Amino acid sequence: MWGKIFTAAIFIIVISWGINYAYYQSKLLEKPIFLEHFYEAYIQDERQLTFYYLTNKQNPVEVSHVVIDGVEGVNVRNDYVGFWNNSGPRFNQEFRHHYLKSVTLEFRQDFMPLSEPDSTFSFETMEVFFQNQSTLMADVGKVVFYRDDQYQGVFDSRMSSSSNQHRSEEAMVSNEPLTIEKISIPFEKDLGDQVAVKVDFDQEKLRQLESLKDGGDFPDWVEGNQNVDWEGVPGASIEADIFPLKLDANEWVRLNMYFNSERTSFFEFSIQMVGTTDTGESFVHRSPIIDAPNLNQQKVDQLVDAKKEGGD
Amino acid sequence: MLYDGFRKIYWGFILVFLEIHIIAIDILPDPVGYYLILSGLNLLKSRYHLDVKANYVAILLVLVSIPTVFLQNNAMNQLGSASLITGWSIYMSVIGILNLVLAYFIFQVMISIATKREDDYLQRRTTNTFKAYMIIMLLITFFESFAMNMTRDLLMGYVTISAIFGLIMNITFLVLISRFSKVDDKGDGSLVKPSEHEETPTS
Repeated sequence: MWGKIFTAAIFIIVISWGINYAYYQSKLLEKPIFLEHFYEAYIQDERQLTFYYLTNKQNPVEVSHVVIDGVEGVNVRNDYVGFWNNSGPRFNQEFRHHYLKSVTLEFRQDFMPLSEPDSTFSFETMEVFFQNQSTLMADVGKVVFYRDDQYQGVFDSRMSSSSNQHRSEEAMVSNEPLTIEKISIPFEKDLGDQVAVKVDFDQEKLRQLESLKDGGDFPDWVEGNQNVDWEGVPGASIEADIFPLKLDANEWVRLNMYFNSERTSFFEFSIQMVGTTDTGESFVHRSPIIDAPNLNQQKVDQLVDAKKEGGD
Repeated sequence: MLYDGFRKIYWGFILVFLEIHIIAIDILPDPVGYYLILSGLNLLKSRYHLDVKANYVAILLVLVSIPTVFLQNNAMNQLGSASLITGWSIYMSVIGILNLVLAYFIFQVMISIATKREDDYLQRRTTNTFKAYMIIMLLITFFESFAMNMTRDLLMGYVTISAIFGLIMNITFLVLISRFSKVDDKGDGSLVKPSEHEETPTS
């Protein structure tokens, strides 16, 4: 009797090996997956951007160089920032079958078609060459380069903060009477439902921030703001009918920004405030934000499954 | 003699379980251990005409385990690579299963000796150890098959628990083998339990 039970147990173990192995194989990527990036980069001389990709733990690949249409040369920086140890593979985050790895690219303005003051250069794909000789035409999201321009300085930025809860805020004071005509989110077609912005111009409350200038403490409501639900965050949505918005000199504006915490794309861009001063000059104020997604096993599985269904 | 056979098996398993690597070479090589087990089993077989299937497994293991002389297999190593499928990891799993089969047959030999000797205590002890050993080792091996799909945290937990339980079970197994090597067979191979009543002199 023992013999039969033992044989059956060994049989079950062998079957379990087979099933696990098949599952393991089904999770392997033929080629790395680049995540989506929404980057706006203002470039003066040099600018670095970091791109993220998923690769198999079994055979993690390292980027050796990239070719981007229209750019004469891009440096791949190898000094790695992230969690790694000397002996093991280098990665930013570890999942069951995959690593999240990153590659930092160094762009030079004179290698890009950005000679005119107002010119922009954008790309959505790049050809990636890995150290194991494989190549990939990668969709990396949307990247736009602008020439770095001088800010007119109609606002003084007094406070800005961001949190790992996918929130960000900036409070500023106007230097002269002006009208805000529009507050816009870049890549609006893609990010319209990923980013929400509220404008707060409760002067009485915001004036308490004046004390920051003299090294005072934050008012309590600044700290508390990070913990309340987005619905509870003060301010009017920029989608509401609030424009044009007139401000006198020395009046406060506070932007509260929220980014979808369930997304898998990387953000590095600016929320733009567009308007004219009472002297008739138009201005653009940018509130830069950087936000990385919270990746977890479930999201990685979805990305991998989506890629596999799409036929990689 | 029982003593010789089980002593050899005992030392054989010691060689298999212990790994001391000096410049990548295991100075307690597994194939030598399996060879000791094999010769111990042959000794038992020739002397007591037991149906010893275990020696086929032992022969197989002597041959299959030769590469382990040059392979370090410890928990740290396992942690680093268990989530990866390599030729080595499959090979180590095959060795693990063959080890279990070998232990199974050796337990069968011990149970049949205890039964023939009509030694109730020894038989009960052997059967209980056999059940505990097999259930725990089979479970460990079963969960090992999931290692490749485990997250790192889960894997750490598994490796720790399986290392502790595996060690305890193997020590219990060795203690039992050493107990059998002390069984007195009166040197004639009769396997008959020495009966105190027969020998009780009238004094």
